[in-house]
Amino acid sequence: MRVANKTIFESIKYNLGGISEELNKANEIATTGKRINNLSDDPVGLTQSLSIRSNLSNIEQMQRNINYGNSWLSASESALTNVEDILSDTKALCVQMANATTGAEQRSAAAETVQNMLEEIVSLANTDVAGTYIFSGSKTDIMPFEQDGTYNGDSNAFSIKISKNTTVEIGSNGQAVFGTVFNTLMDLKAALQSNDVSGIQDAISRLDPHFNDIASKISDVGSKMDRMEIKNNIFQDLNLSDTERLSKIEDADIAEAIMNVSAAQLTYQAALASSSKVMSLSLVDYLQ
Amino acid sequence: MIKLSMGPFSSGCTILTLLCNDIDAVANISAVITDGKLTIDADSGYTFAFSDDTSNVLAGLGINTFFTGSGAGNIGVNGIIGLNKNNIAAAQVGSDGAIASGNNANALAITDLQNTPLAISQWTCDRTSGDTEGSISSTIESYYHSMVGSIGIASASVSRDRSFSETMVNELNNIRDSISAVSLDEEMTNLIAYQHAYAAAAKLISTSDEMLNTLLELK
Repeated sequence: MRVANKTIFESIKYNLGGISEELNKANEIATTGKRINNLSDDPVGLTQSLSIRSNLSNIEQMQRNINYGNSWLSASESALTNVEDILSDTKALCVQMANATTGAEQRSAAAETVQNMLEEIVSLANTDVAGTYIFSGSKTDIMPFEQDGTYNGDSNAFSIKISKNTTVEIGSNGQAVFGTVFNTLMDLKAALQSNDVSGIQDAISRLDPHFNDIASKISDVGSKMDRMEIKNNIFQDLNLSDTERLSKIEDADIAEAIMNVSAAQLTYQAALASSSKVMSLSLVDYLQ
Repeated sequence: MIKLSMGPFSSGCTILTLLCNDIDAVANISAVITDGKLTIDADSGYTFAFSDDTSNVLAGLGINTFFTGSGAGNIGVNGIIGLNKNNIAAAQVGSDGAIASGNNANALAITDLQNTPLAISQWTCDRTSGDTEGSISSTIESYYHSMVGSIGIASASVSRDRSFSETMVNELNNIRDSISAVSLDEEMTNLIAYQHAYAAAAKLISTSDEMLNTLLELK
């Protein structure tokens, strides 16, 4: 084919343009360290990486929730364990006071002890985590129990999300946990004050179910903490594997990227050298 | 707790006025309209809250909403939320009308929206059939991801088309130029050839001139 001078210059321009674009692309990948720098670089990979990213941020939020939940549950656990101890002391005291050899004065002194225990349980039931009360249902800003045992919370336990479709109650309806305990202790106190042995015996029989209730509440809290722990472990694994997948999709293989830059550079140099030679050639130069 | 049931409103009425009257009729709550604005107030010692709105009147009035605007062009975050984060409606009024600060029912419901599939309208447009409305069911997030993906695919295919067209244009230019454009080599060669021809012709003239001179000089 007949090749006009114009054709040579046009094709040099076009080809150099293509090669410098390739060099630029290779350089972009090597300098950013990312395989995908534009939507069009890998639309399918990008869609995957977007959904992995959103998974990751979800996982981080769930882990925050779990940490928050754990602080509530461990506060519940320690409060309940203390209450259990106090109840066991109370029972020992009752057994002693129900004894026929115990006098009225000793009983009325014991009434003071029971009052102290009652106050201690009220203060445990008013446990808070950073200013939010854990035993007042969802009225977390209101102290759940007054000194006389009046409950000011509500019956909806505060709950959090620990995975896409799992919510866990981390707070408690204080009335359900402590309400009857207060009644029993107050009756016990009255019985001690009035030296009423049958009232004391009645309190002993009422204390046992409270024990069971508190113990089962403790084991409930414990099992929730276990669940949280398991979830947390799963999330940690997921976090790791998702991060790895994300890196596989998004990150450039640096060795490959550098090789590509070198290859593009070589091509570019060869093209420049050859083009500059071809451009300077002219028959005119050889004519006198 | 007081239950309001609004409407159906008879035609020709100002709906806001009817709404105002209905709310005003509730004990311990007063509602007035001044300059086209509805003001609702509770008597001292009372507070009020809204819940279970099935008429969407709250959204229409912009009460407890998260966003303002009516479309993609003017969507914005409700200014009330910007003033104080406590204005985010994270709780729901309980079924007994109780308000609890630790109630996170709304917040949990909002979180669930992330994984709730919604019916989303999609328009496709081509030259022959114009706009066609279709509908897909997808979560907002996966819809966004697939939208980003499809923009990427469209962009990649446009780039491919462009480079194909460029190649075509170049090829056609080359063919045209091979016929119409100038090759300096060719022209210079022609020039030399014509120069030689000219030189040859000139040589002929000078030779014949010499011959004539030779003839004339014969004595």
